[in-house]
Amino acid sequence: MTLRVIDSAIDGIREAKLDKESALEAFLMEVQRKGYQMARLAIGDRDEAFDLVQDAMMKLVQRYAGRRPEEWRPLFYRILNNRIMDHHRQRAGRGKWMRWLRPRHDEDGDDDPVARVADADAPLPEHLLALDVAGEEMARAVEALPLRQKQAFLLRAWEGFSVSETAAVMKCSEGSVKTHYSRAVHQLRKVLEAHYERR
Amino acid sequence: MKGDRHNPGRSVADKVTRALDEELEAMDAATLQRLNQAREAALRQLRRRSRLRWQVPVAALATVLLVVAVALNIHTGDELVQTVDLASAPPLELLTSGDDLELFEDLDFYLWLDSTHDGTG
Repeated sequence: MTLRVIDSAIDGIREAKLDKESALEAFLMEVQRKGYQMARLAIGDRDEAFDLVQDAMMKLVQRYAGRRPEEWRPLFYRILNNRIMDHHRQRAGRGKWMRWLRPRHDEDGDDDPVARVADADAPLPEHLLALDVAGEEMARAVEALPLRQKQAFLLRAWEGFSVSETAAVMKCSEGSVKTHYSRAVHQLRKVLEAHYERR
Repeated sequence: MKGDRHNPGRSVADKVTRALDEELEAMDAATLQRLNQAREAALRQLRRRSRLRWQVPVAALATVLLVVAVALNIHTGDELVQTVDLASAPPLELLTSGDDLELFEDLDFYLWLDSTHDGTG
């Protein structure tokens, strides 16, 4: 009798585990492509982007599989963004040595974030709303954004996170998210305008 | 488009994300396969850990059961030894009857007594 009770309890737990595993698999299937694309846009290298996404999936499963499914999405993107930031820090560290070895005229000064801020109040012309821009070109425009703007834009606009969720994922204040996002949008608007002028 | 006019920033975001979605849909098969393999590897790790989580309590339970079984077996073993001693003991009537027991204990005496009575009688 006791053994039967224990067996049914074990079966119940096993079924719950299988349900959780299926849910986790469905979740990973859902985010893997977008996660990869975000990593690729953030670091510009397919293989390294793939490694970062794989790493993020592994860590999510290792550490957070037991958490509630609705927590997986912010956790996954938080891990992925941490990896992206680490990658950039390492690259910056390597870059410092490379800059030290290279002549100074290689520096073009494009890293100044203030120089990249577009006019935040400019209205979007009607003709731009109807304009079809090739996906590849838009992807390149996103890729060209400064890292934090890119992250804020992709998390807010593409992944659909709220300002507070994006701030949690990016480990920054909500005000910073708003600023990064606004700058990203205005930069992308410029790309749309340039595309329109070429047509 | 009405919403776009009220929120031009949103429409830029929509345009860009739509374009990114299209890129996503057109992802090449090789990349998709790599992503599927990475997902599978992560899930394998989860299954391995789940098995380990099952094995630890099961092994603990098995150890407890083994200890209980060994303890019971030792106790039963004592009883068996006792049974063997009883089997090699004298018949039960001899042990339960006080007179018979005396007869059995002094068997030599009674045999000598019988022979003496036979010789004298």
